[in-house]
Parts: sequence; structure tokens; C-alpha cells
Amino acid sequence: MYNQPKLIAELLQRVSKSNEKVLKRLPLAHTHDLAEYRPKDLHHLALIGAQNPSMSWTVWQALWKELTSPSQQKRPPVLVALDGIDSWMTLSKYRSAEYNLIHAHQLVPIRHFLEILFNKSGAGQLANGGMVLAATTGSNSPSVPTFEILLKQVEARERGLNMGNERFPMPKPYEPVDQRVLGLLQGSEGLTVQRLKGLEKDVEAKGLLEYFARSGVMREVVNDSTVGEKWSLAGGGVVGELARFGKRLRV
Amino acid sequence: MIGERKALRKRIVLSNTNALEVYGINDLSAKNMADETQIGQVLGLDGELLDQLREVKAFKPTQNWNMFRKPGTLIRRESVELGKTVIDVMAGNTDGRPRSVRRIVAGERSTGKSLFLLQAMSMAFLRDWVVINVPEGMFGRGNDGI
Repeated sequence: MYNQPKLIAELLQRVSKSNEKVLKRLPLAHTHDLAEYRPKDLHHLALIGAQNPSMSWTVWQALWKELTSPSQQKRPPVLVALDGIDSWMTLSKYRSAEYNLIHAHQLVPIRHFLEILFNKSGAGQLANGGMVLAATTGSNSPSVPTFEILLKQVEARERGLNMGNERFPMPKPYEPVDQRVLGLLQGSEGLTVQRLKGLEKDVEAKGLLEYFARSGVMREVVNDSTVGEKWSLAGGGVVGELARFGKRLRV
Repeated sequence: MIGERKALRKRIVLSNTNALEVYGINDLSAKNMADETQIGQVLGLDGELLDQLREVKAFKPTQNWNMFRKPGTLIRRESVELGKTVIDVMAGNTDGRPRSVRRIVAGERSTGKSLFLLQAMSMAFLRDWVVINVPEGMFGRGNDGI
């Protein structure tokens, strides 16, 4: 397992600054081994880790425990937002001392967040409530086929199918498979998959294009015909493509 | 200067004075985040919330924030459902225990997944949750992140 103290220190810095008001109101409820430091509130705790990368992982674990373990103190819910988790389902760009590529799951922070998302040993039970939301990248997911299988398995489980069932998605017989990724499925009941599609045409897509027109970015009249045309060209209202058409200059 | 090109590549521009000001749009707030009548509207991101979103790296340089006068986000059906989920989580379970929701947001390229996360972060900040954001490529890309 490989730690990433500088990155965790940066994360703590951002967490402490963006949540400053809320964290300053929260005193500590547990004891932690933090050398000579005696933080007076959770904001102070996060700052200790931000300013001392050598302790950042210890501080992170303390902060996480403070926020998500049951305690006497009143705590707010927590949102954990994870973007682009595709890159966590394969080899990282880091190399070991033997110059082999390290798998993403061997990186301590990634392992930690995956345990929360997939509720390994109850790590995703937020005692004070909250949400763990992870987004895939979409653009290079074909390069991690095992991850796509995992997503299909999670969706199948939601529909009531289980591993033994013949309709349960399994990897193809001779396809190379990443067992670390498939192993995430077990114990992750309660996890769901939401698939985003294109915008709805008459209200959502039209609303977006009207906003573009009112901003002076789109120089065409916005009516059912132009909205319909752009909606179709955007593959059924895929919002990124729609935005691209909204700003294209019509010659 | 070291890091100058990287800083230029990664800079987030949230405002363009060449764009027209759009009057009559509301800002996203704790009150309207689960309001179905807002579907199809663009709600503004302003004030303290904007600073928090910037700090937490919710904006990506590849998004088109630099084309508009002020940052805003389109409310779609899924946004309102997200708002309702946030409120549900705060209400807790029927037996009084707090609720945890764990979800993977998937979909084709450019369908708005990252912006969906941004909306979730906005709603969470507006309701005084603690928000932890791990932006794309932070841990696995080498060179200590992007």
C-alpha cells in the first residue's frame, strides 16, 4: 500500500477552507493520537493535517472518524463527491521500486474512498447521514471493461438478480479480468447506479438554448424547430453536445 | 517561472464581460433546490457558494463557464430529484436514524455527470453539510495529481 501524504494535505486544506464556518462550530468528540497538537475544533484539526503532510493521513482518519462515527456531538451530514472513478479501476501512473505499474487500489486514498463508496466493512455507513456520489468519466471507459461489467452487476443486483442467476452479467469466458475491481461488488448492497442521458427536448433543452440566446452566445431564434434540430444533432439532447451547437456560429 | 504554464492551463474563468447579462434568473438556494417548477431554468451560482465551489475544485477548465456573464447551472429533472434526496437524507429514516445514500453516476460522454456532482456539492453547501470533493485525476495520475 502506498500513501500520498502531500495530496491528502492538499485535500485537507481545501476541505478546511471551503467548510470553514461549519467546521469551526464542531468540537471534537473522540480522542486521537496527534503528537503534541490539541485541536479545539474540526477546522483546526483539518488545518493541522494541511500544514503537516507527514501527519496528513493520521489527521484525515481522525477527521473522517469525527464526521462519520456516532458520537454525543451533533454533526451535519457529509457529501463525498468523487469524479472520474474510471481511473481508479485500473493501473495508476505510479511505479513501484521494481518499476512495475502500481494498481490504483494499492494507493491508500483511493482504497479508502472506494471502501466508503462500496461500503466495505461498513465504511460507507455515515452515522450522521449523507451521500457518497461518484461519477464515471464516460470518455475512456472502454479501456476499463471490467469496470463496465461491475456497473452492470450493480444494476442487475438492484433489479433482484444475483450471482447464481443465469442472467446475471458475468465477464466473457476468455476475457482478462481485474479481480480487484470485481471484488468490489461483495458487501456493497445499497449502492445504486444512475445513468444520465440526454436532456428532455421541450423544457430542458429549450431552457438551456434560451439561456444561451439571452446571453448573446447563440445568435439564432429559439423555437421548436431550431431546438428540435439541435436536440437531434446532439444525439438526443446530450447536454455537452447541445452546448457546443448552441455556441456555434452559423455561417 | 515554474508552474506558469500549468497554472494557465488549469485556470478557471467564470465570467465574460462580452456576454450579455441575463436578467430575471434566480440563484440556486436552499429553498428552490427541490422545486419542480425550476426544471428548464438556469439558476445562478453566487456569493459564498461560488467561493466554496471554487475552493473545492468543482469547476473544470473544459467546461464553458468562460462564455457567460455569471456562472449558472441548468436544472433538469435529475437535479430536482437530487434536491429531494438531499432533503430526505436530512429528514432521516423513519426510525430516527440518519440516512446514507451511495450512488454511482454513469452515462455517455458529455451527459453532464461532473456538473451533476457540482449541483450536489452546491445543494450540500447550501444546507450546511460538510463537503469533500475529490476532483478527477487527483490520486492516480502521477506527478502528484493533475
